[in-house]
Amino acid sequence: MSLEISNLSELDPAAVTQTRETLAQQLQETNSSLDLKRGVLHDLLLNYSAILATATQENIDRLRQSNSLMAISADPTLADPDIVDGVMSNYRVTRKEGTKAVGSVTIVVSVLSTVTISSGTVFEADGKQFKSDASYVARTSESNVQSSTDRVLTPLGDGNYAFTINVVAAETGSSYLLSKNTLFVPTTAIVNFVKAYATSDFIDGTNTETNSELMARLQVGIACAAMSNRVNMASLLQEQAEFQDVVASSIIGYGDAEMQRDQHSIFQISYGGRADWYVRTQQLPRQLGLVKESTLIAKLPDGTSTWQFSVSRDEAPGFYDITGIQLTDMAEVAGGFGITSDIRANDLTPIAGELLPDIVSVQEGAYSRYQTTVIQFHDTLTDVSSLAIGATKDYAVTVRYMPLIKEIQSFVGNRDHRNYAGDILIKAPVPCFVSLSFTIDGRTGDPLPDAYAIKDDLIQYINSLGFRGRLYASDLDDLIHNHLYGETSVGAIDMFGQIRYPDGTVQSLRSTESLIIPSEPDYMVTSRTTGFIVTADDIAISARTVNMPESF
Amino acid sequence: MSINQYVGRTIDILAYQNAPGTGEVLTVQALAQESNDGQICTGVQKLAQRFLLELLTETGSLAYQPERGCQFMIDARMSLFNSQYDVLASYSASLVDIQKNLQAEESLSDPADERFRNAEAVSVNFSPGSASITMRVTSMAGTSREVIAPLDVNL
Repeated sequence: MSLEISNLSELDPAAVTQTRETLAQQLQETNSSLDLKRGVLHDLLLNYSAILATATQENIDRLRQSNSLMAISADPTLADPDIVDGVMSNYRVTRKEGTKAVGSVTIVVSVLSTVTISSGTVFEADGKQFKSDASYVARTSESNVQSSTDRVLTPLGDGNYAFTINVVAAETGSSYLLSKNTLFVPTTAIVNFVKAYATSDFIDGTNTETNSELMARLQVGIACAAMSNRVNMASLLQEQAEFQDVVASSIIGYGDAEMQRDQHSIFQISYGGRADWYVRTQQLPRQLGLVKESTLIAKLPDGTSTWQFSVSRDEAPGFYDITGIQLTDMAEVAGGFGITSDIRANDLTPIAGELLPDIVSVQEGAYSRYQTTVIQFHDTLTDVSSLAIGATKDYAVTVRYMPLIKEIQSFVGNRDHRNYAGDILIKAPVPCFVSLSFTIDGRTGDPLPDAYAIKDDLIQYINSLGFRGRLYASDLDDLIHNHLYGETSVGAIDMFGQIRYPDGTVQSLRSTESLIIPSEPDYMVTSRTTGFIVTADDIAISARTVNMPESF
Repeated sequence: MSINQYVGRTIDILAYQNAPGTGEVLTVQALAQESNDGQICTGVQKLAQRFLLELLTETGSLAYQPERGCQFMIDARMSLFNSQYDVLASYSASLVDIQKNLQAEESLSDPADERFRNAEAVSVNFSPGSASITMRVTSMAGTSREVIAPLDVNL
């Protein structure tokens, strides 16, 4: 919203009326012979004076609103961003500017032949545009590579070839953070093109902070940055440039029902000195592609096999789960082998310069940087008839994790920053993976809403909820309605949530009204530890034409 | 009116120059002319001006006073006047709003000759392309003034 009134028709009619009456009173007190009923003086002098005076007063009000912390807090949407920036700078709070998402795209072609991708070539995915950040040439062999932007065509198992380029989003915003394997379509022809997909999750895309979000951070900006109370600790975290984009955090400490690590004595009572700090470092977990050497552990009677690999604490610190296991030369980007076993553990090997938190169980260390796992999966494709138990093979593994958990743990475990009276364990929020499904009904010919825009709003809202513990369908309805025109309406929203508990069990929630995180502190699952996570792939929107009687 | 008649009265600026005391004359909508620097009005002439402004204002067209005006000029603009009866019908319907608006801003302390009682349509002349309506505005004092409002009609 611009600070200055730009159109005299946007004034509050009640304010204009009040100003007109006040001016009429003042004019008649000054000159009692003026008739200010309907007439020339009324129409040309009084009425326009009232309109202009109201506009001036509105400008003054907006300026005052922008300069006043109390007024900005009351309604941040009314304040001018530039002036709010100035006010916030007094408290060492700076607005986070939006950044463009970047990532790499794997392009698959059908022929082993040189391919050129010009700089600025546009690719579309999920209704959004991305541009190649340089001019790339895919060469047929390593010996032909001439520059850093030359790529070598890699053969795939199905006779096609692939190479990778980097792209950058056309606009700033977190809605451009695409997931690994999202399909892209080039807007200009690429020779022998088969398909293109995101090599890994896109990163760095952020929205410019709104006044509301800036105000929410104000308390943190004012507070002393120290390992003291919760506000101070949040302030300390956001003071660090590498952690300033943290979306939300929740600290469990002495006296909290979820705290178990301070009861490690024979008396089973809380002694304090421990804090579990759940940090949502970004809206969406990142999907990391790893190539894992796996070991054949069983040959099954039907010719299939079971394999096993492990994920160490440093490969994807604080990871949630394994979302995909494929053969390294598998041409399909979707699908994969089923996991048969996921055995979590903690690697508590001391780290130089860091205080090792007191962790005694898998549950306590879940989603922390100390977590490890051993995964067993069922390979239905590999011919193992000639392989012996113990044979090894590489698989492409996708791990879903919350970034920066390891880095924040190192920061708070550092002797300079840590509290001398206890330890802090950094964890990713307990995940409640949400999926939504709803139908938009409309009469034939009614304009269809932009499904991508609806998804963007829902994703932005849900993933920014922080540790609220409740997700209401009515709030989602409100967002969806902003995109509906004509006589289109939205039906019930089927909300489905899956909480992966720290002990590895999964609990499902389902409702068309609200998803409420259960209060189970013994399992470390409460609204203070759990966050809702939803991606574009988890939102299904369908449209339906319905018969409605004509209005006339 | 003499200057003495203005003592103790409230005034407005005259919007329609050349307004006669009686009889027909072509008025000019102007705050000032070459021959004078503008005029003020009071009494029943001011009432007539208020009435005419209200009649010629389309409902909703006066900024931030959407209730002011009437339907009369809207009907004229929309080419709904096909005979003198259409003009009269529209005028009669508009008179309800005009009376309501004018009387709403008056008070009992206003001079009686500045308070609106009614406005009778004296005659309507209609020919394709133009129409004129003659009205007699009567104040609470009983004084009246004829107002002639020529109109271009879109047919």
